[in-house]
Amino acid sequence: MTDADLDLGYTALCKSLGEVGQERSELLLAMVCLALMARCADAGDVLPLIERARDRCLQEPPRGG
Amino acid sequence: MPPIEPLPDSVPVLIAGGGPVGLALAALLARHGVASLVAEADAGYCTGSRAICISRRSQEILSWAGAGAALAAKALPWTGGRSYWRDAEVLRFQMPNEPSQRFAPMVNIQQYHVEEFIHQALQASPQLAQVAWSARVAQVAPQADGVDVAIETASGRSTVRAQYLVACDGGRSTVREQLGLQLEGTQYDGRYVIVDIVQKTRRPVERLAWFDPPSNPGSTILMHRQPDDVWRIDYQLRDDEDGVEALKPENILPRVQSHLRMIGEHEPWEMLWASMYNAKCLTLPAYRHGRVLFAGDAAHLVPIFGVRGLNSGLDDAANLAWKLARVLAQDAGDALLDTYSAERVQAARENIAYGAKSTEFMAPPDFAFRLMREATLRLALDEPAVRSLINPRQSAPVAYTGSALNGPQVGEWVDAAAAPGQPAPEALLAGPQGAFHLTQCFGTAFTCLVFGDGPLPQAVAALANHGIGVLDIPPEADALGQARERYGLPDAAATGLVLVRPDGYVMGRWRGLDARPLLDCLRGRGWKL
Repeated sequence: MTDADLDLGYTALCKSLGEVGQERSELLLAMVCLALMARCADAGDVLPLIERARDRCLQEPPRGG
Repeated sequence: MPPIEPLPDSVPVLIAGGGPVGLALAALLARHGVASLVAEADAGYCTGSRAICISRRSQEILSWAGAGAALAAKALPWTGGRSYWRDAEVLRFQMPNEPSQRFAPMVNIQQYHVEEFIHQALQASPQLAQVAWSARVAQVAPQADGVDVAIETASGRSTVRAQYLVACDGGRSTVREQLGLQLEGTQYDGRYVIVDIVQKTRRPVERLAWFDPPSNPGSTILMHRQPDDVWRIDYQLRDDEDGVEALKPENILPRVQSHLRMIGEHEPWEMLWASMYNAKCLTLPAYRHGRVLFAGDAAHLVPIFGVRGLNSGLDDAANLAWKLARVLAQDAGDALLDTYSAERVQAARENIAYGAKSTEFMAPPDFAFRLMREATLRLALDEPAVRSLINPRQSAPVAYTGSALNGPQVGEWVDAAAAPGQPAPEALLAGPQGAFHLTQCFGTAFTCLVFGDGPLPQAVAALANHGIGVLDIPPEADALGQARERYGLPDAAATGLVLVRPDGYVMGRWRGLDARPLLDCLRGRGWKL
């Protein structure tokens, strides 16, 4: 994907998230994620991504702490 | 049912529990000429539909038990299903099925019918298979060379000495409790009410599932047709609902009525039976404890959604019966019974994993699985690629990968479907009396399948002297080419021998027509030939 296309996708995602609102944002992200996953060639493309993101998230302090 | 009085002093095999697994084991043992006594605490067959989906493999096993014709006449075959989210269809699936198959991939029938059919088949071997109703196992005392089992009947307590005791006494097994054994694993919190109603319908027989239907918002509903105009309806309770209240008719009827109205079923109906369950993924780590063996729910509990509960219990019985028969006949050492435990524990773990996958969708265990299910259901409206996540993942017989009983595979074979440890594939063959299915030949003895190129070699025919069934499959008998294809012969002229166990699993396969490796294979596994 070119930088320009990435920009387009990024902005579209942000705008859609804003439209559906915070309460439905998880659902929207889950749907987009699953749809993109289904377009990958195999689990090898996907599992490392999930693992890295998980590790990054676990480094974040929990909110309200 | 009339009681057996008095109980015998001793018996080769005592089977605790006369549900479908215990009764099937008695029937299979009788087929091998082994006498057994079934002790069932209840006075008759179970109430309620309970385990209703009978897989293709189970239909084979029930045929060996003598219940095949009755089952085929009564049960309702089905091949697929549909799932709905709210009011939209999100999945349609078909199980592998084609006209030359012997059985439908799945048939629906109430458990009490299955018990009745097997019990009736047992009447053909009254000297071998006895069933004592209203006979409760009270105490189990393993001894060096048998098991002393105290059984309570209306006339008091008596002790039966069994060479082997097989616990088929269900999820709350007394035998398990007596031996101080615990099931290990996990349970899911999500609870389902299951209901039988009688109502006439014109709907086809298929598995139907609704997620968040307008009739019952937030719930999940499953429906299966059964014989006698019975519908089985399963619906999920909310986490905050009281279990006792939920089973009261005044709380069940409106929910069922609401759904029937939504799907356009307006015929008069009444409720027959209701119960509740939550999905469990539990197993004993070993199914053999000296002279005591465990089968069915006494050994393992799997989630209902994978449809592998009763089906895996029947597979336990099929795996155990021929091994027990061999050991009792002293044709093999009792280490053969350890292979029952190893193979069936492995199978249970695989069935549990499948069941867990189904349960994660049907009763999501936490917020994460709930979120992703909601995403999947909505996405499924537009994305065919994600619909497989909604598929309930049907029952399939497990392969005994790595089993100590597996023999070798020698020479070139081009399909792994019939490798050692795999269930022997089905094939439609042509015989002198017409068409027949390969699996009709299994169930009692070992079978040697012969893929030859001319007259049967004498040494191969002589396998029959060792009690091994010999089935010659010349090209003209393999009319559709299914046997050669599915057993992995490289071409029509290729020769080979496949040794199939009494329970319909491949033990070994050898290219060429030399009988000696088959005999070596069996001798190497403790057979006295």
